[in-house]
Amino acid sequence: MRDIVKPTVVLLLICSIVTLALAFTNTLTKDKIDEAARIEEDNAKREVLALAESFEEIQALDAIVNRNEALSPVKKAFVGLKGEDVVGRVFITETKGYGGTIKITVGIDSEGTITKVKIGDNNETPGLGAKAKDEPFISQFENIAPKERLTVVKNKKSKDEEINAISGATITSKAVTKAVQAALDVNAELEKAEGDL
Amino acid sequence: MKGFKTVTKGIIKENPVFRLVLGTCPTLAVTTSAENAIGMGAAVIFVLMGSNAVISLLRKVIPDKVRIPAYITIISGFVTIVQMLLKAYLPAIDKQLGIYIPLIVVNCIILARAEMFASKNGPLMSILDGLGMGIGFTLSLLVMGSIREILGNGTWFGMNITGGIYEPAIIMILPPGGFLAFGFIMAAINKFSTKKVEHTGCASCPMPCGVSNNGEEAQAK
Amino acid sequence: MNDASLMIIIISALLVKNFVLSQFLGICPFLGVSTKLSTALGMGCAVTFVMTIASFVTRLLYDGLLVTFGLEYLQTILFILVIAALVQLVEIILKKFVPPLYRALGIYLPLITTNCAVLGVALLNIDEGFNVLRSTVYGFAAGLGFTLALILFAGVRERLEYSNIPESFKGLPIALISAAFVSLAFFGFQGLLGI
Repeated sequence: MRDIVKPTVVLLLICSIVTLALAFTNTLTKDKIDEAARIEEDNAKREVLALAESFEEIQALDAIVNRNEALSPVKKAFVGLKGEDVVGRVFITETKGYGGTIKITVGIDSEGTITKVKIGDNNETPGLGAKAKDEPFISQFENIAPKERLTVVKNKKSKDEEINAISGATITSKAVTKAVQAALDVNAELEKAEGDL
Repeated sequence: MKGFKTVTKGIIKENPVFRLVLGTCPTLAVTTSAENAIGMGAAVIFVLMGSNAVISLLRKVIPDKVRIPAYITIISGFVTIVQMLLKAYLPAIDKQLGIYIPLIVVNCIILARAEMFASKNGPLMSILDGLGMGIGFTLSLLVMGSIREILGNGTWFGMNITGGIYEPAIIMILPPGGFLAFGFIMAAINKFSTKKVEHTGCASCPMPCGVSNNGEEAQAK
Repeated sequence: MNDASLMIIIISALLVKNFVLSQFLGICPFLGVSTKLSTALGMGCAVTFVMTIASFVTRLLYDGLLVTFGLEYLQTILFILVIAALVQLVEIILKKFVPPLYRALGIYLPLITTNCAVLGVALLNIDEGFNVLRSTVYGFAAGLGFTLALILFAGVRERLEYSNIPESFKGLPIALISAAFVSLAFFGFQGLLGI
């Protein structure tokens, strides 16, 4: 009996001490981790809609997104304000790329032109999908006001709404395009909703 | 002098990656760039030194029957601490290394050193052993990572160094490239050293990998 | 990503993102145990079995215990202890109820604990946000993918035995280079599905 009790007690003791140490480290770092995420999101918002000085989250987002599967990439929406005037909207989206979730921030001004698209966290393949955040891919989205739906093509871009895929990274290219399209759609819905007021 | 030797043996003579052939999973997975290699190496050094220290301090207290679960618990404690610290202060590295940070727990190197060294030596020596093995691990990863990054992306630590002399072979950053780099480096080591690389590291691992010489299985019990 | 169909999950784990050849999980046994076809098969079965059950149990514990009490940071330590305990349990059960199988799998059981693939799949289930059913299916499929890689590689290595290999490449180096080609072959599955 003794030689079962002692080992078990020692093991339980070690487990408890380790758990306590982890709980302690967790309280130390938890706030820093949340803070870091918040700062990153704020920076992205400012970058894609440089005109805006402040942002307000749009609360009615769920009602719009839940209606349509294609809009599901849009996770958060913000109104960009300069003083009292609305200068545009910022959308935080997530889609599934090749290596996992890609976080994409999209800025659209009040005329419906995409100001900028920023690729955030992602696990895409370096040298292939990871090039999505660089020229010449990402700038295809900038300063365009799409009248039709965005589509992904291979090297035969004839209009703004056609996005040239990254060679060897079609999945990533399609994922990003899907996210930007979802942002455009939600923006259109929000415009309609405000028009109805 | 003894302390110095303890540290340096982990770098060449008993290099955990290329001599003892331990910790192959992260070696192949995170060496897509030199920067990732350093990040992983640093994390492993921290865990190795910490767990070696604690296990050595408790070596007379931990009963033999539960030593493996006890070691695992202590090691995973340190790994989780590293994970939290990285998420808080170096989130970019945390995202690059992904699940391979928590996977440090099952990195054979750490368990092997606990069993082979920390359980039988004093805390100071154990810390030095952890440091030496960790440095050896980091250097090996750095070599692999550099080769793969230079050949596969034309950069080193993100700095363009080939200037477009040749079109980088992306394959080196992708999974097949990992195997290739590892295989060729090992062949090179075999060629230039007197002692052939044998998969002996696992003999020191409390978990029998079922491997003895050059990948032949251990004889059935 | 909970809306991936079960079929996509299975094919992804088996081919498109094979655990060993694409994700580098389970390399130690891959290199060590793949010299003979029969042992590769035995190891593969044992690992698949543990991975399936581990996926199920860890997902349940994560949802029911860790999330409920806000203790997500205990994920790593809880999972590895669960896996270690599971492996012990499997060993005891097999020894008692299916002795021939226990003898056949014998030495491979304990080392499943340190197999990156087992802890890896448990962690991936959480990352991907799979529910309990999908986690279990993913664990099973990942195990099959691991077994597939092992068997293929064993076939390659059995052939290598009869080839003329330069001295410095003998053993692990040539094994690794061969693995590179098998991995390359699997790379062709990349465009197969969008997961």
